[in-house]
Amino acid sequence: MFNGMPRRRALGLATAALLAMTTGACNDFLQVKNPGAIQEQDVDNPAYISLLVNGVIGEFQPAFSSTALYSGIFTDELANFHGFSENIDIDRRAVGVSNGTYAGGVYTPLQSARFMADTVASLLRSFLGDSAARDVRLARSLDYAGYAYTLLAEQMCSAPINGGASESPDQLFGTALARFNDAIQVATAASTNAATSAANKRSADSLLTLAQIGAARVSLDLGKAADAIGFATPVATNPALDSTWGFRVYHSANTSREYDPFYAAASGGASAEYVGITNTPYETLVGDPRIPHPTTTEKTQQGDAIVPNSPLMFSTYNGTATGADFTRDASITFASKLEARYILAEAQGQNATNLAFLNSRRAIGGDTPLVAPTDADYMAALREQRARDLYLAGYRLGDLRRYIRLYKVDLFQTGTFKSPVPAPPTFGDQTCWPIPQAEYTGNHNLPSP
Amino acid sequence: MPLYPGCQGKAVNTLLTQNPLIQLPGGVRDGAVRSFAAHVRGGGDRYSYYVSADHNYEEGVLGNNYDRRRSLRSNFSFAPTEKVNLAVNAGIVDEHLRLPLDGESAQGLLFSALRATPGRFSTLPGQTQQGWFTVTPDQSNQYDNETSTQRMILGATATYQPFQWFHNRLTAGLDWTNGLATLFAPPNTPVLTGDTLGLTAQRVPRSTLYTLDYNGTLDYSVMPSLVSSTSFGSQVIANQSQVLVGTGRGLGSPDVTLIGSTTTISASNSFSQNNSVGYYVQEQLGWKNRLFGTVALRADDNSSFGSNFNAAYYPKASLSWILSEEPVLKSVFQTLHADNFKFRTAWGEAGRAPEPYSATRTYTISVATMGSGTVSALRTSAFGNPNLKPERGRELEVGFETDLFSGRAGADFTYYNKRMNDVLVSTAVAPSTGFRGSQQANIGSTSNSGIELGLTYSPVQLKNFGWDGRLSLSTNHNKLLSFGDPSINEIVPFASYGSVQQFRVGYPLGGFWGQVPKRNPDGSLVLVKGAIVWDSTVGPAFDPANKFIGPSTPTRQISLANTFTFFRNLSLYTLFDHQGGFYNYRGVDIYRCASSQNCRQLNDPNFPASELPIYQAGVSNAPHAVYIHKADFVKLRDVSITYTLPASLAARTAASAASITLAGHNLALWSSYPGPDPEVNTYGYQNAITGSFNRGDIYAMPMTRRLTASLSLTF
Repeated sequence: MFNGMPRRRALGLATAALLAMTTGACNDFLQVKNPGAIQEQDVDNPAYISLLVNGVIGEFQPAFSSTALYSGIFTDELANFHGFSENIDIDRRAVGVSNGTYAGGVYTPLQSARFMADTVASLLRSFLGDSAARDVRLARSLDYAGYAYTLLAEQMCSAPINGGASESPDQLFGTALARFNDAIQVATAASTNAATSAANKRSADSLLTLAQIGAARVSLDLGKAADAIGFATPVATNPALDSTWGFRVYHSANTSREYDPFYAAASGGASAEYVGITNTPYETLVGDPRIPHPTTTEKTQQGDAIVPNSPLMFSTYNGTATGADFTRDASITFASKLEARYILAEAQGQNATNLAFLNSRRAIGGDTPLVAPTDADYMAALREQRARDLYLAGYRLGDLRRYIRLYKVDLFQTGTFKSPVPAPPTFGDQTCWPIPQAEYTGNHNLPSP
Repeated sequence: MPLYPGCQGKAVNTLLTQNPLIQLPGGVRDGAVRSFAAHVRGGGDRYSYYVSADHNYEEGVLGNNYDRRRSLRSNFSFAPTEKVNLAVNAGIVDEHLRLPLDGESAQGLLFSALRATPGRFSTLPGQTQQGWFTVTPDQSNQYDNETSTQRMILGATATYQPFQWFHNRLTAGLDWTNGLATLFAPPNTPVLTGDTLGLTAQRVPRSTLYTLDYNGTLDYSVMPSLVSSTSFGSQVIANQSQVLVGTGRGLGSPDVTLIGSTTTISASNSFSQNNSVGYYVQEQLGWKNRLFGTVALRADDNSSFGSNFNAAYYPKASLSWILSEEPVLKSVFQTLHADNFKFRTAWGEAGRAPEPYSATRTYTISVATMGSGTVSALRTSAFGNPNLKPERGRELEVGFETDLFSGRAGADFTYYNKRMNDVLVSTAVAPSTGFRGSQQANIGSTSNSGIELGLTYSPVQLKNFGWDGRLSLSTNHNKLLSFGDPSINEIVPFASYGSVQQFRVGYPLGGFWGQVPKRNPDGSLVLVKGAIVWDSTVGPAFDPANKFIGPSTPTRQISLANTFTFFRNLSLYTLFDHQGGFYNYRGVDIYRCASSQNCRQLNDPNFPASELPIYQAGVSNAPHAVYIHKADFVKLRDVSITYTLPASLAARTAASAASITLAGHNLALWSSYPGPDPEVNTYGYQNAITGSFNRGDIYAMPMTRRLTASLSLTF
């Protein structure tokens, strides 16, 4: 044992040595590497423009295709043949907020696509200054933002934006329309700018058409027929556009994130198919190449079913009644001259031109022409042909909701619910997707469901 | 072949039951267990050593499951002078593990068995065996997932005592792990891979953990009866892990398994780094070697904290008092036949840092598909939380320990009360933010209290019979005290399956909640359109408000271990274990009813038809409360008989001692839980305070019974 002075000196020396040894290097030591990530503040950098714009497309592609698949099951386009109960609930239109399948397949990817497009548009305006107003990259981001909002409005009962309070479909449509209008301005300026290269001019023209179709689609959903006609007419009557012109989301077999989800759902090889048209209105439809399918059943994950092949909007469409399998790299058209034509036919109602258009589409499926139909018959036939032409391309849920809202026509499946696995005997009554649980949990501006 | 071979000759309304795992060929097996161990210990005046080697091999009950583990450990210490001591320890572990597809995998045999219908063929194409839902045992066993892991642990400790009053200890450690996991599915095994291409993949995880720990202690006698001990020190921890993954699809031949030989190759890697630094100072005072008091302060910082945080400080204090040594109390304790009665109490704070990188909002690089091909694209990654703080726990412990009746019995009692503030919980990121997944957040406060009581006894000690035992009892009650932030919703569901487990203020953490069916006054079910569904025009056929069912973790545990010794050489050991006051979610039954229709309720003709809608409801509409069951149980964990050979007999084998043991583990279960084992958890066993304690019985493998025989020789 020792007395006080040496002890204090020893303690002081030891403490000083310890602190000197460790404190100086502490800050550097606590700065660790994270090679898998880019810090948010570093993204605010013009060097990232290409990656950012690619990110807008990269988020929208899987969001759109997955939404097209699951909304196809939710509506009458497809029936479920998967054993997982969440898929059954989607098919039955009885989706609980805790259903993770639709949350991960529809809501979350659409929100990611919307956020990325809005964020990139904002960054581009910051990076490019005045020139942003005539830059095709901004026009592209605005277009994709518009379509992300449009799909959210068509699919969701309501949806919050950026962690805010819930917005109604009309509010979401309003934002979509604003994005499309901005895109039209920017694409028009880019196209008419003398300094724009030929390649960028072609892109600007294409993006302008895309924005016009989107604006027409939203206007139609909002019941603004005149606006829909105004936006759709330049597209539908543009002689420079081939009748098969369309804007696509592309897929690739390179990585799983790029796969067309319809491949796994309806052409998944030996074991994975889990959707069919058995138990849908198309079960007995034969001879229409727009809803191609074999005449015999295939083995699915849950029993045998007639499984559809590639319809008109898919790059693997081959025009035959049997059709071709979906592939991992099949692209999907999500805006087309044909769609613009349908918007005109619905917004204008029956006239000679539109009846001729309708009969031309009926002929593809082997249906006889309508002669002087009533307006109701005309609209019913138009709805039927639109359903076939735009089959599995993400339109059906928005269409069914619009038919109820504007025309009081309810085409949702009701009554007995047929399922290959045990399920409640009747369809539910949902006409849109509820906000999922994850949003309620993480968004403090939403009251509990 | 008839569609339902198992139904041939059966009368209508005959309930067919089958356990494919046991009744069908190739289901489960009796796995072999082998274990060898050798230990050597020795030393001299200034050195000592210890070397041990172990070899363990254990087969699982599934045909493609085994674990082989070999280890070598050694310690060596050397004291070159009176003031210096050096110690080195080293360990090497070599493990080879083959795992089956388990849990919720549709290609797993448990899934296939639990979802099967007797006599019905699998839903997969080309199946020739009935009684399985997806894969057959042969197909399941083709799944070849093997992991080889080498782990090396090195440690060195130097102690230096330059003066009698000054002790120094410096410890450095390295924990290095390197693994290789291989996954192989030959061509034409679509039931495993979903296609006929075949797959070969490798995963190479590697982690290193460096630790450096210094402690200095200064001893000082303030007065003859009062001794001071001042300690201070620092700890530095650096943890780094990385994983490299390569996958090849499209094998031309099952004989060529190199990834580079496949038609489609993909690769990825990950990296994680986490560093921490801590300092502490402690003062302990001892009075007459009977009363000891300690106060200490610790400061920690960690690389996972956000920019809005500097360091965390944790104080602690403790007091222990050997009351039976106090002259004025000695007679009292003698009257009570108590010796070495020590009262102790402690109060302190401790903390836990967030997960690595959880503070920062980040983007990452993904892909986008253009008409011309695949290009790089930016994508949102972690949402991040820059305001993260450490989770702080404040705990008070009070207890005592004592010997009783001259060592024939003993008691050890502790009451603890722990309050956690700023609890780190993984909570969902709102998708509307544009980000996905979860983020860590400091959410509110929790409490955790209970007692731990241990009683040892040796009631009978005769020449030819002895009885020793230990009774352990513990209770634990936790609950959420507050969310802290009033803007946070009252409910934070986090379970993988909906909201059957929830955080709610005033209730146990991760407790089970479930919706219950609505009933009419006469007890019959309320139905909507003939079923238990939610209908927005009519309302739900179940109570939409979740009802609290009970805790998800045991609130009491009792274990009773007894050893009976006969004629000195023969001993019988038994261990009974009870856990109670908790519930488990038998989620697998929802899928059996809703998706496979093979649950008893839907098939037993004697089951009341009026109750069928409960089990016909889909998962989303299911009244989950009916699938949450009380999980109390008593298990006979261990029974063993050991015979120690007489020394004269052992000497014939050149050993100084020898014994033979026959043991059985998990031999009996008493429980009302409807599944095979109330203790299982599909999500593994995790810390109940971290917020990541999902619990569910969903295609989980129950604990297996084990019988072993062992021989121990000492030379």
